Amino acid sequence: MTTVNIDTKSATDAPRRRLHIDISRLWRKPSFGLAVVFLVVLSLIAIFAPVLAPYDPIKQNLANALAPFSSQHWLGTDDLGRDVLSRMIWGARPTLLGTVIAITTACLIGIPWGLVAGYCGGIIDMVLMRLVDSVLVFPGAVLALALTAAFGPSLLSTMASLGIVFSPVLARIVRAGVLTVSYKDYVTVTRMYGLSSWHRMYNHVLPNVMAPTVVQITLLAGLSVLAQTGLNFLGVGVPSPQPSWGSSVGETFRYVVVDPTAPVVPGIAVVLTVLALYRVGDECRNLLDIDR
Amino acid sequence: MNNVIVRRLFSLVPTAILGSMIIFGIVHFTPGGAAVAIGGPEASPEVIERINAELGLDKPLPVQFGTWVWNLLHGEFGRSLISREHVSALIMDRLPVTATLATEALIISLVLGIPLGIYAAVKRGSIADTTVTTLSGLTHALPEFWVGMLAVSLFALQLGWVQATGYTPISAGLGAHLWSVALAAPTLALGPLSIIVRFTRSSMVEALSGHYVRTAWALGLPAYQIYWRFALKNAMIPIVTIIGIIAGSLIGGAVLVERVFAIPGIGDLLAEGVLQKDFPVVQGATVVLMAGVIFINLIVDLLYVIFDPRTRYA
Repeated sequence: MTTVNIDTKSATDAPRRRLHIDISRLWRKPSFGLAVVFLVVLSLIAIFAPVLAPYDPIKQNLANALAPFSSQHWLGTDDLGRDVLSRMIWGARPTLLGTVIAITTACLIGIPWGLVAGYCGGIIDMVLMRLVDSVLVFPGAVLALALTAAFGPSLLSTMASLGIVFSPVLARIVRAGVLTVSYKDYVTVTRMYGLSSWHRMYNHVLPNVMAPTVVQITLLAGLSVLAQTGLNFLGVGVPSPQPSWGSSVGETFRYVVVDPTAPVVPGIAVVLTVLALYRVGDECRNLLDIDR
Repeated sequence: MNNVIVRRLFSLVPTAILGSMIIFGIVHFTPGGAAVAIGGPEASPEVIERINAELGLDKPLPVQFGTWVWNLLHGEFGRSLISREHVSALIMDRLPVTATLATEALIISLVLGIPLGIYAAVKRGSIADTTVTTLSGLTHALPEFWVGMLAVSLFALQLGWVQATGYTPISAGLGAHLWSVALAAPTLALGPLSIIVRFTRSSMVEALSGHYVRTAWALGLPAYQIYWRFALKNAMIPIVTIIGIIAGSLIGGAVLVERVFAIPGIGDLLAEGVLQKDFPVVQGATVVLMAGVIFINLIVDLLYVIFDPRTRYA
């Protein structure tokens, strides 16, 4: 009787793709390093806003309205005499918090949505994916605005609405990832060798699904900063007079006739944040070698 | 071919049903009920009852949904809770404004975006290509309403070249109309422009690497013929498909841009409705905007079938 030695190790090790990130490669790209540093500093600013902000962001001082840049007020004051720098520093909080809310909501709904569709297949997959198509047809901003009308205007409801709008995007990507691996020979091999489905999930499915998902999340984060600014500008996000970048841009419209450069500062903060998030997303995509 | 068209039309049915359910649900998702949200926490039970009766919220849910859809199909969106006007009348007033503005923005983005994309693809790797690609990437990160405000600040308030805000319909003269949207339409075009440039570029790069293009070069055909006659024709097919995505981006952008330029379009109506908790207006405006996007997507699908014979048998 011949014995066949089954070397499970080499069989399952063969063409496996893992979330392996070569950090040293990242730092060779200065724009990427800059983007990461920017985001880290921004997070620190948001966390330590009470310590860093030189003035109370909502305290008005009409006697000193529309003050130019000076050593007392680095970025001047707005039409109500509030310190612009302090409002920008405090405004970083809802921007980052809102992004976290949107992304968390999108992940909580989108990832299970895609996993279930990919794993179950058949009629469940068809129904779930038809649902994805249906939601994706709607213009995101309009749907988020309509949902905000229902939940009532606040940072939480606005950003959660946005997360709901984003979730089908993630669902589609997760499902695609699951399907790609399910039919790969190396996954079939693990099944033949009787390895646990947990092993299969963790070693083969997860890395394949995680990589594109992480990339998509960074890009959605950039999009959510943009959308949040717009929604705050419309007045449906952070309630006035609490500072947010979007409402800061909107408020400058009241006095742009007197101070034509006023919208520049809050807008640049938004643009830099979005660019940094997109940059990180792009670089992750290159690094993880995902073709789209 | 008819078969494909029928199938596409049928595939819209679930989208339409789901969409109408979401929009119908807007009133019902509201914590504490829509009547309390509208009347305020101190509203008396009589007021709440009256609002409920007006919105039809006192009837069973399936009946409400059925009535709502039935009315919708007959163009009846109810009355605004604030101005008491018929929502359908409000929408009819404002729909042409948004449609005109969006069409103008689409034309601007196509007229600028396609040649820029082609140029970048043909000169791939050059400084011109890098500039175009970088600028379109940068545009992607700009909030449109912010650009609009800066444009108003610079071109209208400082230089006084154009009017800052407001809208003149085409019926009052084409010149006056174009003058009134001279800032708004290009601002709205920015988002779609960046999508079109990037898409045209990548689609053209792919087309230029095709075997038939190599053969054309080998045959000694002139460059303009290769670019325009062979490559662009094939590159255009995927570009048609993104018109649907662009429609969504234009309509989403219109909400903000109309706010900045005080243009009385349907996006402005929606934003105001959300702020005032005017549920019939929000529902009506959302239905119309979404129907618009679905309709454009359908047209794009059909165009695709016409442009690319291969899809007819798919």
